[in-house]
Amino acid sequence: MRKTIIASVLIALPIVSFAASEQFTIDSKHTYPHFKISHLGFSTMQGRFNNTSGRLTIDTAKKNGSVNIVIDATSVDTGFKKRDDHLRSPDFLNAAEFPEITYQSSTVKINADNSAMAEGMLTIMGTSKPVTLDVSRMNCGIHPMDPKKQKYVCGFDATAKIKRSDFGIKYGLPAIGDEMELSFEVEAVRN
Amino acid sequence: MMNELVNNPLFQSALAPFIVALVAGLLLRPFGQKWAGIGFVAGYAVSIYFTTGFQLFPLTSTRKIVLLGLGAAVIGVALDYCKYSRRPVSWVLAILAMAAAVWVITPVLMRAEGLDFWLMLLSPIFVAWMVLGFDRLRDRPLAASTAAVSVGVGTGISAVLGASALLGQLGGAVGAAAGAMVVLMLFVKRADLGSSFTLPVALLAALIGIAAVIYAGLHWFSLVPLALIPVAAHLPANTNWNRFIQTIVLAGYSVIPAAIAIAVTWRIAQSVEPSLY
Repeated sequence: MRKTIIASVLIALPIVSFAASEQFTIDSKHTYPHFKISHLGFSTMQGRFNNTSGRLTIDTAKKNGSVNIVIDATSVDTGFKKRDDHLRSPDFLNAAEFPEITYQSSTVKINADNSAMAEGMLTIMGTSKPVTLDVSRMNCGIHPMDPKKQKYVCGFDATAKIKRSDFGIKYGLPAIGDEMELSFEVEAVRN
Repeated sequence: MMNELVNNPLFQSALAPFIVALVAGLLLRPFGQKWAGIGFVAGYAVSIYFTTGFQLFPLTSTRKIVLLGLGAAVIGVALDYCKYSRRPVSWVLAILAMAAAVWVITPVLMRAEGLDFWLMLLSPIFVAWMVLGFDRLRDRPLAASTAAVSVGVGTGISAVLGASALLGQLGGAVGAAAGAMVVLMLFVKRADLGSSFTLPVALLAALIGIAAVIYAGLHWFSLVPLALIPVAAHLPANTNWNRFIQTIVLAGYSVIPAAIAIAVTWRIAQSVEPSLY
């Protein structure tokens, strides 16, 4: 009897752990990194990146997970093509040479209220620096528009602050702000 | 006040390289005529210090250009002090210049496909052309220095209009430091420049030009007039003329292609305020 119980537990264990740690693929059509930066001290310029991909892992039992985001640097969009071309140039993102901006988490802690904190490395123009993402409440559930009611989605908003000079982007300092506010609207679909 | 001055692009890429190149050229002259050309490198190095710093990693295309420019100066000094057969060395320099260009554009070249790939392979040819063109000017210091001012200013302003102020500053610094050499030619009784001047000037200006095309959206049309500068510098200037007159005539020859390059870029960009976004 004892052997049967132990065997059942051993068989069930991977299933339980698989169920707890779930893999998600970022939905590029509903995931946009935004940025805000002081424009010569007059106003706060806002922009976003239009193409983002990546993966999430969420372990609801252990209250942890992982985040891997890849942002297409060439997709920067501030609503003004000439400025976007300048942002892609070696003065700022050097997008032809470094087409990807990446964020790879090292630890993710999910709190009881479903807020979370991700620590990891942000890499811009080949320079990696530790950046902490503050994640407001995570929301997960079946997508209401899915006719089959099978598409399971998790979404959240995250914010971070960085100094662009830390990544070697020094053009226009100090007139154009050094500190940047980043905010991410993220939705990911369970695999 | 001091911070404002140091952060001013005109100070970083015009005033500082000009003054340092001039002072270094004057100080180095007693060690041998051709050491004056090293003044150019000193002036350029100061501009690099203010604009990008001497950080080497990550090794971006801009840092590769700076590294190659400094390496070219070392090779130039060695060439000035060695006796060798000129023609084979010129071709070796051209091949090295092509290799340098490929190294600078490698990140984009690896991803390029079809026609883009083949068009990018024109870049090493442009760089080799410039190096060969300036190599032939090394025994004509006045023509070399006026052509260097034109190629630096032409590349710099074209790069700024083509959407990269950083590459524009690096190009402008070539022109400013070379400008100091023109002043040296005018007021010092006897001064030579040699390969220690022509090699880094040609390599830096050409590499900045192709980087502006590949990384910053400058149209390749702009490089065509710039390629004519070393040719224009070979136009005749009577050596019996007063040195000031010779300088004006030679500068006039090389400034025309530079002005055409700027006008072409201006026409394409249709804006003169890329850094005011």
